[in-house]
Amino acid sequence: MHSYSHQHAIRMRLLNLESLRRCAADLSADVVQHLESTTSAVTAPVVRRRIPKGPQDDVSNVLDFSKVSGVSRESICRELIRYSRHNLPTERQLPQGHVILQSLPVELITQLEIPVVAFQESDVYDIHRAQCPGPLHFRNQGSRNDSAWVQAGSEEMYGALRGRLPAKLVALFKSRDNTCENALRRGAAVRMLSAVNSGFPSAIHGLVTVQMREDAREFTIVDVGTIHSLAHLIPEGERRWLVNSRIVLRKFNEVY
Amino acid sequence: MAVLLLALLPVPPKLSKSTKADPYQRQVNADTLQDVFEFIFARLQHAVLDGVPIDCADGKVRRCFSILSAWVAHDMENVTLHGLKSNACTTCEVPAGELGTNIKNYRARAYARYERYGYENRFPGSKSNSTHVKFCGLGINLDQNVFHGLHRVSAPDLHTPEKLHTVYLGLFKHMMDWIQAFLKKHGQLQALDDVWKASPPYPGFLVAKKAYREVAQWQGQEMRNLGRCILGVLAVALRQPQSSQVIPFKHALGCVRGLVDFSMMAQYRSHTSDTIAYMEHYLDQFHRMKDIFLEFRVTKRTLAKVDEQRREIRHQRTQMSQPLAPSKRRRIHDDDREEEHERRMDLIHRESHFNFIKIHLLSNFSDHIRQFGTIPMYSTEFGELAHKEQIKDGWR
Repeated sequence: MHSYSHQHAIRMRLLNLESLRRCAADLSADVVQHLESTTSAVTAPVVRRRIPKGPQDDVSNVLDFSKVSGVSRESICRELIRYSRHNLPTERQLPQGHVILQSLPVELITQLEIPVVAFQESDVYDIHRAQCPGPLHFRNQGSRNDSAWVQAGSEEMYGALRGRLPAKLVALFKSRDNTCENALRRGAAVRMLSAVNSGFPSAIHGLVTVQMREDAREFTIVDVGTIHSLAHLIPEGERRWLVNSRIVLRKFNEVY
Repeated sequence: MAVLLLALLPVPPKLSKSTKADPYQRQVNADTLQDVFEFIFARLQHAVLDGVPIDCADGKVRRCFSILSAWVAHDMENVTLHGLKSNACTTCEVPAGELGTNIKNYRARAYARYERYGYENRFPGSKSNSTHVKFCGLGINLDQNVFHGLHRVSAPDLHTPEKLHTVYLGLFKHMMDWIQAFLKKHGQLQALDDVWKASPPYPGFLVAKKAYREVAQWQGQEMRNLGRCILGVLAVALRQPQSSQVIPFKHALGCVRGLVDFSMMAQYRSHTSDTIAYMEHYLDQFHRMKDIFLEFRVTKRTLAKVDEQRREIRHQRTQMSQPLAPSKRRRIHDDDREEEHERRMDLIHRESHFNFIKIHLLSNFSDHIRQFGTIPMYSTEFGELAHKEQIKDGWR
């Protein structure tokens, strides 16, 4: 209905312009040109970017990041190097020395706005606001770090999850690399969950189970571009969750 | 979508189903409704036959024929306006005893035939007993169809499936009653409440602040919300079955999964033959598994029969009782209790059924999508929301 109403509105507008032209109304040249052209190019939908919001003022470098998030400096440096090696081109990689890395300018963020294309739409977006205030309280309640879907591999991996895995957000940050043309990087520290039964849904209830393995890394750094949307996980135990794929139509259509 | 208020319909006082004392009041109510609709449709009839000139966007004036093609309302309203009994389907002639099945090939309603029969019966001596019984079995209130006599209108196609009253406030509410009774039987009710309250937030999803049992009234929005998480919540609540509970838990989850998946597919804004086939498959799965909840569809009449049966069994036993050793007496007592339980369940399964109209309406969804398009187009939520303003405007 929405799509039909869009098409109807465009067609009605064209009919109005056509009618005005017949009445010899003063139309601009580009409108006349558009009306006379028999074909029109279909423009690709504008890709919307993820927007980080809510900077924390008390963080200016990796050392502050470590103090605020409660994660050791060594872990942060180690993961930054790992992220740099796996995700950045050689000429833009981060310096390898821990001392230089610790002075890297970093800004912590508490919220990430993720535009998610609405199901069966091409230009309508739902905005998912991923909250990650770290150990801070959220709206006078306990700390809240959301779960999100992260692209962790190719489409063939993780069964029904199609290359995506849910992850718990640990921190969201922006960093500026002084050693490489002041390049701005937007990253997220996430605790990746692993899929049980290779990501295939249970034959009984049709939902996929994920868990946090004992030997899992404390956190992993990923680019915010790999975060697709928020995930809805129903706790099944201390370290196990059911992926609620019935939460929205898009997820229902993707995970089966 | 624009909603234009044309008329406010009179709402006569509700008469209890059991009162047979006031047939006159019932007839007055039906006649009033008939007259009001005749008045509303009178101008439309002119437009249907002769057309009306309408200004179009291209500057031309065209003759348009406005034809009534859908009556977007909840089922009970449609049933009243079509002159049917409350457990009858407006689209097909499904018998009241088969509403709980997933059979589809019932004959489409032929309202013209009913009207003809009603007209013939006005004359004394024309009433044939067998024909009358046949028509009564079809759930028809003769001469009470307000759409009768409208030109170019297909009355069986006017009814549109809708999710709000059929799925969210209908089947989901029934399903939650069954689930609660099922969990109570298996001692897992508290587990459901705990998982329910622990559900995390999500955009557009209202996080539950109270346990399910603590909420007194459920509205459409809340039931829709429930549909988005109930499968996961129930799966967690039933995650550790004992050996005797494995099969019942599996069937209960299968049934809930079928209904939830069906409701998800019904929300699609465009369909292919594959998506419709999936929808039918999920509904079929729901019907195959729903018998697990049959024992929770017990009516008061069945309960009375169960009590009577128990009294009878105990009476027989007291008459046959003989002095026995304590160990033997205990064994016989256990056997008796088991037999009593089996006979009770037999009676409940024999007497209980799923024959209510909302469960049947689901089977019309796929055919309607094939014929007229997706279900969200015919949402009654627009009309329900319009009540807030337009109804009050009418009175002001």
